[in-house]
Amino acid sequence: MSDDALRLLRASGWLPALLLALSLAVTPTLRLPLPLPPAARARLAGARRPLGIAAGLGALGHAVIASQLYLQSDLVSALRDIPWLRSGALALAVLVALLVTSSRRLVRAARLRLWKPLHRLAYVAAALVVHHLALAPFAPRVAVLGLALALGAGVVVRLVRSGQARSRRGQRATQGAPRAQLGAEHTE
Amino acid sequence: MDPRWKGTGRGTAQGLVLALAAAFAALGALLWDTTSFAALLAAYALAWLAAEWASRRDRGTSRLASGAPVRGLALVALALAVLTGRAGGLLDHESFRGFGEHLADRLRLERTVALHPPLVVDHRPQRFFVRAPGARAVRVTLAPGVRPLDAQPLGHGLFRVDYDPRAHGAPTRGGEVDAVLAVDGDTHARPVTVVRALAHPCVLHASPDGRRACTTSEETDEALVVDGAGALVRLPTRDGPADCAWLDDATLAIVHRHDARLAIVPLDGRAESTLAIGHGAQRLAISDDRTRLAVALDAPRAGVRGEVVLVDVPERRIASRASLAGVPDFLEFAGDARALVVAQRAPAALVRLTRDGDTLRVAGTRPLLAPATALAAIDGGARLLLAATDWHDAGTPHLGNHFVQDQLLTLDARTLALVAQRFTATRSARQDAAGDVDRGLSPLGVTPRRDGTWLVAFAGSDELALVSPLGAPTRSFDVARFGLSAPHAVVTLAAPDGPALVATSPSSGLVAVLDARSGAPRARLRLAPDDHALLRADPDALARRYGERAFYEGTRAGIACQSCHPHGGSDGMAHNIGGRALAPTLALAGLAGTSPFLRDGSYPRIADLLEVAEQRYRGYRDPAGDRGATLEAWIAALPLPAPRIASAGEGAGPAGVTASERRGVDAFVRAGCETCHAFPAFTNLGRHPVRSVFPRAHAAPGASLDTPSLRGVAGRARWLHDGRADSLAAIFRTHDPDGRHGRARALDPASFAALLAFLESL
Repeated sequence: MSDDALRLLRASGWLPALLLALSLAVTPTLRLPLPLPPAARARLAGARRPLGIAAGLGALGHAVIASQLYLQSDLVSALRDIPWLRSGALALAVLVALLVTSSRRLVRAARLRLWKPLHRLAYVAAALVVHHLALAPFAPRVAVLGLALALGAGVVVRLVRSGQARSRRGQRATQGAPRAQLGAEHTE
Repeated sequence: MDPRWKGTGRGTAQGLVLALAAAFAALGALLWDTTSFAALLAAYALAWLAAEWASRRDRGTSRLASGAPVRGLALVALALAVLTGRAGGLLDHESFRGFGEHLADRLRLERTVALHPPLVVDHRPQRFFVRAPGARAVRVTLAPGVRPLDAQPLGHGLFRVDYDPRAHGAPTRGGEVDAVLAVDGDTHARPVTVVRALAHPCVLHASPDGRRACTTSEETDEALVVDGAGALVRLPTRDGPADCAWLDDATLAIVHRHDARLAIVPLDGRAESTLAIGHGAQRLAISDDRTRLAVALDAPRAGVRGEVVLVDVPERRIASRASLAGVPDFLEFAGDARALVVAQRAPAALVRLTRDGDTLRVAGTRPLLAPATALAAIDGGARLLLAATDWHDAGTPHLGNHFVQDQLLTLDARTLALVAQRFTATRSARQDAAGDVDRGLSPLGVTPRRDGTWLVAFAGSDELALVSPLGAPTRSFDVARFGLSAPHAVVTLAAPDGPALVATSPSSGLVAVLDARSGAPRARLRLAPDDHALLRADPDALARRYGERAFYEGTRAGIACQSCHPHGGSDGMAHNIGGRALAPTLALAGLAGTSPFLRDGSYPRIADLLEVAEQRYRGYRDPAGDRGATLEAWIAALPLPAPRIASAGEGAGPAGVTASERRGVDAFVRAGCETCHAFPAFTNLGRHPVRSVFPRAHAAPGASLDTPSLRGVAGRARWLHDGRADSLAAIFRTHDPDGRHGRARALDPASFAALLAFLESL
């Protein structure tokens, strides 16, 4: 493999990984008590979906490039038997499923009701991407650690803030707060 | 979303999906006895589909989703998942086990300013590499007590440091210390392990009068003379005494691994004399008439991997030299001083040299299936006694799984034809499980006796044995019970109390004297602290000692680590180790800090490799503590081969850098080698699908390949993961037709030659 091919392989892999991480960072960022104006919050929230779509498309591109430049032959057995390739393929499968169900028209046509539990698989995809990178021969481990820490921090922020919100809701419920208000607060 | 399925804080659709997924995953683990990311993901997908289906029909599941049943179901499912106990399988399947070790090694090598290897030994020269991109000057202090050394810039951010404890100072303390690297004025501390060697008496040769024996301890630079009554004389030597011989009853000849001089040492106190013969001495032999000494040198240079030097003893001069295509190991005079047989390793062969005047020439070569583990001349030099782990008259490889068959072979010294074959691994009354062998494992020392019998030191079964070539029962003495573990050599000496056996145990740092008739110990000559003292003074050294013993210890199947990795090196063979392809044996030196291990990188820790012995070789007869940990401690302390010293014609001193070396590094980078064989360890510890690098390889589908370090690569007998390349050049010229293993084929001839020379210098 030439140096240029290797650079392309690396860049095509890191790009969707970073896009996915950014996409997953949106909700935790919005839940942090940051002094963001409402318009900025709205723009940030609106970026989540295109970032996720770009990550899915990027992952597809990386898969095509890797299969042409790196794997070439023995693709199926390599994906089946080598852990870091397997986790990459699984991450790709998840991202493609999320990509397909990111189309609002398609979701409406298919009348999907449990969209959110499906799209929470984005976190699973991120974990698989970290596993893929952590064992891949060409990925610098410091960068992988950085990505894993960033994703982990996002998950922690999200869980903590969700817990706090749930606790507040519970307190209000015991004080007789209107139910509609609770529903609005919970909407992502 | 149906509002009834929205989260309310008491139960959610997400909760139902998770609970179902856990239940499906547990069920899958029970049914298929394993679990994996794919299985977990499939369980989640199934759960989601089920919940989606239920939510559309609302068959009462909304109530399930919003109440306590969800939590109950989740708990039951989780309990099932835990009870199935498949977490370990998941860790193995997805390469999590030992991931921490791999990550730590990789992070250490990827640091800007990285040092390799992370091991400093005090008994021999070592070569270190530093990766410091963009640096102009690097100065390295390897350990406390070692003076700072200027690293030699090789280009592309790679620096080389050649360390010689004799010249630069030995470390003043062992264990974990920080090496200090000064890079353009900034200092960086990098952890290294310092190993301070203990005495390791190995070879044994009886004096002509049969009253004394000599041995050497290469690690502590001393020669030792012992008599049958247990008197010991210790003599300091030059660097790395590899072997010794008796010129007469009062004069020793000593050759050294790291000193180019043959030393002739009178035992009566007179000054020694020396003769320059060359670096890399392995062993020596002396003719029956004591007029000729032959020295085997591991002396790689262009087209030559070894050399035999014939010394005229009376005239104290080199009579002749002969180049060899392989690395010579043992050698013996056959008959008179006019013929010499050399047991060569990498590639394994017997080479018969004859002397015509002062010229040595190769008179015949017989390839061996496995290299000799011991060699002796018998029947007045007419025949040879050879110990080996395998033999086939036609040289056809045995393809049996983990095929090792310890044996003693009698060969005609002139024709090198097989005369007799005797398998040594046998069963005794000690056997406590069907099919086990517990005697005659790993013969490492053979000494013919005047009565025609052979004395054999079996390192794998801790015994000294008297073996009759006529097939009479073997008489064995178990010697581990008095500390003589893994004996390497044995001789008979005359003594006032009757004949004595003298034997060496390198791992115990011990020379023992035994009654030749009863095997009862008469004297134990400790050259290193015993186990109890070591436990108090240096527990790490004790762990290494136990590890060394475990390394030589035979399993119930009769195989030891030593069987294929002689003394931590490689037997140069390719073995069927359970896959569908042969795998060439790699040397174990320099493994520290390069997780994962084995050809496919399937073992994250060295200690994990004990699993091979426990499962495939049916484990060990004698109980021990943590064999895996002690084996790892010993193997991780094996230093890489000593650096090849640049010859005078290359335009640089031993520590200097040649223009050829710089060109070699440049070619290495231009050929793309550094992408995977990254500086400074010459591996990035990555695992690749075999066919992504070698698309035409005969490898099992989906087989992976752990990128090997290139340190010591020139010392191998065969190259590439399946051993199909018979030279370094052939890797690129013959076995990379698709050009996926680097771009060395695109280099011009001069650069390609420089690349090969650089690889040979590693």
